[in-house]
Amino acid sequence: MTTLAKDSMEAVFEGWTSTVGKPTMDSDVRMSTRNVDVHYGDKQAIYGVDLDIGKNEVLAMIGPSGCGKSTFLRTLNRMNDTIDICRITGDIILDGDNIYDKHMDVVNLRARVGMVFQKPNPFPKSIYDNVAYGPKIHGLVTRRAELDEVVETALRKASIWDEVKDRLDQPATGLSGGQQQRLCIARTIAVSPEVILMDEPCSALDPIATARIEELIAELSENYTIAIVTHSMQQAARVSHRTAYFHLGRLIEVGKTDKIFTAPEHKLTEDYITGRFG
Amino acid sequence: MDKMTFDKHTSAQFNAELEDARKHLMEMGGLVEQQIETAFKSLMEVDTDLATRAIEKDKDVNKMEITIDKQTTQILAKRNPAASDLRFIISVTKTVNELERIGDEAAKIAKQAIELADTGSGPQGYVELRHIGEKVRQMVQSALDSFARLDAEAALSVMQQDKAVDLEYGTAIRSLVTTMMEDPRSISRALNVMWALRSLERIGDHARNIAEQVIYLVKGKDVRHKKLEKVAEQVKK
Amino acid sequence: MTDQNMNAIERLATVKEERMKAKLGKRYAKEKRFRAYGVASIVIGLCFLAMLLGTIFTAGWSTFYATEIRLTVTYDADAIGVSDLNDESQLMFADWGALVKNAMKERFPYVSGRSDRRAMYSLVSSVAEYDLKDRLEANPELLGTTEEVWLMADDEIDALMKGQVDMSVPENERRISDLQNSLVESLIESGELKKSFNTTFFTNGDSREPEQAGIRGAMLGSFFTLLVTLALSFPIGVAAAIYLEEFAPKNRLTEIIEVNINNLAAVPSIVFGLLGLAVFINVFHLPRSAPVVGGLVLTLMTLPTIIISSRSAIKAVPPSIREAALGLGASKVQMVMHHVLPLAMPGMLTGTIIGMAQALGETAPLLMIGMVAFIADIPSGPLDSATVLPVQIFLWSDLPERAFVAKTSGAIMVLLGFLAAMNLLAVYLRKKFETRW
Repeated sequence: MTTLAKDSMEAVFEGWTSTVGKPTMDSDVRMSTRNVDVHYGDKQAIYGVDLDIGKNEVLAMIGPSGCGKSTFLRTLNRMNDTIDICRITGDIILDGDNIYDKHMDVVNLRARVGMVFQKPNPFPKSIYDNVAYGPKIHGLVTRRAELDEVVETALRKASIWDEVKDRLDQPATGLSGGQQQRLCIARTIAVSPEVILMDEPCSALDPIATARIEELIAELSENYTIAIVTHSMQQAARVSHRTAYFHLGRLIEVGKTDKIFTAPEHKLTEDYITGRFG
Repeated sequence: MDKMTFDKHTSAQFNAELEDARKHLMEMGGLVEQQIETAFKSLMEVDTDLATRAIEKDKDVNKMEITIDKQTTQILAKRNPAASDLRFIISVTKTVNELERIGDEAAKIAKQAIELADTGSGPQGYVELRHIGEKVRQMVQSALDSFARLDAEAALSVMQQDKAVDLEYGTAIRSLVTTMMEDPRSISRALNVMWALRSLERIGDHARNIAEQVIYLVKGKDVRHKKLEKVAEQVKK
Repeated sequence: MTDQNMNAIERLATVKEERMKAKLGKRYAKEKRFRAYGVASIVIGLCFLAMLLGTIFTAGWSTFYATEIRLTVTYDADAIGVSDLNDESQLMFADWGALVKNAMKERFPYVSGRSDRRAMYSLVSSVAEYDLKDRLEANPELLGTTEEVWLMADDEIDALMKGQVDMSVPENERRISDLQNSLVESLIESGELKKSFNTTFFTNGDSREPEQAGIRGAMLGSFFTLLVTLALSFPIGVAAAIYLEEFAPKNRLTEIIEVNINNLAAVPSIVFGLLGLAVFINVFHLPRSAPVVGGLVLTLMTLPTIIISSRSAIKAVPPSIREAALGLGASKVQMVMHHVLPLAMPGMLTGTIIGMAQALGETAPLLMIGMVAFIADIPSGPLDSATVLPVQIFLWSDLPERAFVAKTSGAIMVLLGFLAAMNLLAVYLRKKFETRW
């Protein structure tokens, strides 16, 4: 983007005051963010985002590249902590606890808010060890039999059990991309999180594997709160209950997915969803 | 919301496809308008030739329907349109459907004109018929205009006109019934006129449906089966 | 269409074919030339390598064989002057040489005259008598009996047997007299002289006598030195690499440390030797010439190599694995210990072994800390005085005796063998532990 275009884009936000739609919820809130700003050094990446994520809700976050949706997702389980220059202000509340509170242990937090990444990233270990790793490091299980059960349940919930039950001791890296991603989801749910964050989980997968993951997301939403960042608007439309549109670090519009994809209110949302140049 | 446009897509081809669909729809609208005009004229002037031409025209309209449906299906399959594009495609599909029905009704009117000609008499004296016919023709034209200009307010006024047409239709039917009771020999002729009236009223309904699609397209609000006042509220918002 | 209306691309299309054809030949010729240069440089390199190995092998091969002479030795108590083998005072003044001399006299009774006899005695290595002494001390019951033993020949005879002595020059200009030659010939005829595998080379320490000089002392010295180096540099290097790569904040200080580590890798090794001399010996008073000091100095020298290679191995671990571990709630240390370290291990091991191989071949810093002394004893631990293989080679290459030329090359072959083995080990470990993801 040229500086000129950027300046004019800034001008669009001159009068920007608040998000279109209803970013907050009245009840059944699992996570909520209030006035969240994120800075990378001198550069501000997120501008005052207020957003609630409900219980058993699938929230999709869409927006052009560099709009801050991934950054925002990663603030939800403090994955940005590893970046030294990243500074976050505002409140992020998970079930009443401020996750950036001094007393909040990040290890604990990540057991409550799990994450699935863009590229399937199983550990180069056996399938069993991949799923067992989370429960082991958190000391969730005390007996081997219990661990076996946890692993099986997690793999079943991620609907990959039938494909791997006969080769649990084989390396996870031998699985196909789609299977690897489902294994990563199984690995995440093995520590029984409350919220699962997904950062473009299907961007490296073929359409059939993508369809299976989408199916899985629908099943998981019965028990978990899911926030998913995706580049595929069709995917956001298919899997989510609510959709949030980000643009240049601002939360432009939030609404029921049905509404966002048929009659968005904000021009920027409309232009992005219909594939017009900004 | 800013003025709606269907260009400015990153994909220039998509722009062209949408524009093509729009052009064809307008073309079909023009055909249907002509058909109504011809059919109505044949009825008024008891002109069998004109009536036959109006019936013939239905074939062209049907052909257009198939062409546009094919185009919209293609766009749906290839482009996965969303938001205003999606609403545009949906409303085009539905409008095409309405136009085709209007064409059918126009053909029916032409058939009544032929039957009246066969009995050697015209619908003279039925002021209501001429009045309603003129109004309905106007409505179709305005509905199509509002679609072309994406003008929700114009569409709203079409919906309001339909209400008036319905009232007038009721009055006309009552007066026809009176005529039939007074003069039983005129029953067959009056029935022909009644059928024609009914077709006109149906055309008015279809025009109203088109107007509803225009409001859906422009405002993103589904205003079917809603009270006019509510619709007006949503359009003004 | 006229020429004016054609745009540049269209005009190009009309002449494309012929122009391309013209250019294509040149392009192929260029590529062929380039490939030829590459092949030529590899061939030149291989030639040098072949020459080097060729000279070393031809010169050093003979050192693995030694000439031995069979003598019928009578363990005569009177001749040695010892009546009781347990009497230390008698052993001190015993004349072990008499055993060999008597045996020789018996074998060649016709040799007479002092100088001829001396020439005869010198067929056998001057240290052969000590072999007999050892044998007798180990088996006291042999006293007074007679047996046939194979004794090591003198290095000049050894050289003669290996064809390194030119017998056509006048007698006074060569080191083998005609008499000696005739005696040797008669020994060969009767099968009392043979060439056998030179175990002495591998079992003895250094000696002034070439036929007695072995590399066991140097090998053990190298072993202890490397042991100390490995025990120190691997854990320190890996720990430093992990800290710098995973935990250290990125600021001016760590940047300076980083630059310094890279610079240390380029510091001439003799500087480390000076440092070792100044610090370990002069300040801490560690024993001179000891493998422990050598190991410490080589640790300093190999640390940068190990740190740099370990860091790049850690860097090569994909960030997605780290994210996966952190995302599951692993702490940073757990992430490193459970995932990064196992994945980086093959690279770290390879770097370490390469560093060790470097250390094995290092001479200069060890000269500074006194590991260059003549040490005949075989070290039994890292605190004993010792020398190492490359220093041994350096020492032998300085000695005048002809046989040491072969010894030098032989020791080089052993050293090269170890280096090759270590590199193979590095390749093997990398292959074995390498995980694909």
